Amino acid sequence: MRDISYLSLGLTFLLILAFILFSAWQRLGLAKDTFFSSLRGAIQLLAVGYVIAYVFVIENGWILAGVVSLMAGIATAVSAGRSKRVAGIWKLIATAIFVSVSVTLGLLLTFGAIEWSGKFVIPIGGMLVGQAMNNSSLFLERLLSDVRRNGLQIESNLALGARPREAIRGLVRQALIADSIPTIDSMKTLGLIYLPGMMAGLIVGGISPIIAVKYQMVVIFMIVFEFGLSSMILAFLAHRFLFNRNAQLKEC
Amino acid sequence: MIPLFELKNVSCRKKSPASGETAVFHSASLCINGDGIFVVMGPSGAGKSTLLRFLNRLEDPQEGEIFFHGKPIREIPVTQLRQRVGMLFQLPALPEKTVRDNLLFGPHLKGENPADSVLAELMRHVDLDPGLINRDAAHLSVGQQQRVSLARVLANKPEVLLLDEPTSSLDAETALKIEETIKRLVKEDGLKAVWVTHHADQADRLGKNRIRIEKGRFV
Ligand SMILES: Nc1ncnc2c1ncn2[C@@H]1O[C@H](COP(=O)(O)OP(=O)(O)O)[C@@H](O)[C@H]1O
Ligand SMILES: [Mg+2]
Repeated sequence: MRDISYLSLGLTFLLILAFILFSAWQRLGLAKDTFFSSLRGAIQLLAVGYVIAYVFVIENGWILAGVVSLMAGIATAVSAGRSKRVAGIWKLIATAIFVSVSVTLGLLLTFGAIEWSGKFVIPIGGMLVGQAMNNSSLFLERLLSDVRRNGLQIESNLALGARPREAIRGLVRQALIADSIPTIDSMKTLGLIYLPGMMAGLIVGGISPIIAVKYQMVVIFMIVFEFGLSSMILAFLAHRFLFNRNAQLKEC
Repeated sequence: MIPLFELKNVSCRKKSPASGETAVFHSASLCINGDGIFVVMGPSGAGKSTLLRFLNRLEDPQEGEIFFHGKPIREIPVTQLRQRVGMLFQLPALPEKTVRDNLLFGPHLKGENPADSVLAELMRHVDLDPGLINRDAAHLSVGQQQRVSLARVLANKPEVLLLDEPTSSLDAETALKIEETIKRLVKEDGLKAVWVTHHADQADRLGKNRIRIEKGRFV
């Protein structure tokens, strides 16, 4: 397979600089975060590049479970960092990520779609963790901003004797629907606009396109299922973190 | 006679990033007897809204005890208390649903499902045209929305109604209509009301049974 020179790599990194300049010019306040995130991402990728050869040959189930749990733990910390003002919200995020990832992985193994070995469990587990993390961040960001803006509406509901779950039901629904748009849209355009990363990778790596397509379908189905499962967990439990035990709305 | 509400040595401090910690109530005590409309006055920021929020437990004071019919309100299941002690806020905040669905919110929580004819009667009761029942509540005028909010609380058949400057966002004519509606409900249906206002003339129209909040105390 053809290598990429460090010069070409460096030049493509400049593309990020263009966005950073744009952000600074428009005062979006994203420049610093973008710069450090991209740097961090690059370093992480390089590090992973060096260890992945060892990770992919892991066959020990406990070690594999440990690696996936570690990824899920990191994802929880990143997603929870976005909603620091809600005490204990990491518990909700951790539940959504751990449960949805392990149930989905378990089903894929049961169906025989993947094998319990490093070269399947690590990349697939990674995708699942990433999807669950994005989903938690998007859902909670939307829900918390809706809750902040609609405090009066929520309290009007509470004042009628609604339990917390009932008082925010409408907002939870809206957040779920908004949250599902990217997932559904990406399915609609699948193969037309967007060639999914894994499939592209397999084809570039020399695997028959049809086999690549089959893997990709498994990935899409599992991601939609996992999306649904993690959303359901978030939607069912979110109210516990936004209200105290006397059904009073907390500041968030 | 056991008062409707009683506050004993209630203290409450609130923190805000802007002004630091402020003492809203300082060992304040109050008896609210249950006849007619009880009027609460006081300058802006005195703690009038906070008082009402204590009475149906949207918040709790840090110290002191509050009684409803002689029973500490912390011992009454909070959803039950709120169904008995309804609240009308300063501004309507209705979800984007039909007037019907808004009115049904409270009854549905109790497993009741009143017919449209009952809802229409309720709407007439607050001077709202029953023809609006299928309209999106969030897109009515503010005055109509405030009436829907009132009907929504009344659909719950509360024993006490807390009103937090309910007419301050309305024009004088609509405000008078709401006043008349509440006065009629108090007189005809035996509803009890605690009404917060900072308009002296409105207070005069509502009755003599009144209190002021000043510097964290009731005077
Ligand atoms: N959520 C809050 N956080 C901090 N301070 C608050 C909050 N709500 C009200 N306060 C403060 O508490 C005091 C009483 O407020 P409030 O009961 O709304 O007064 P009123 O209804 O009489 O105008 C005010 O000084 C206000 O600034
Ligand atoms: Mg107020």
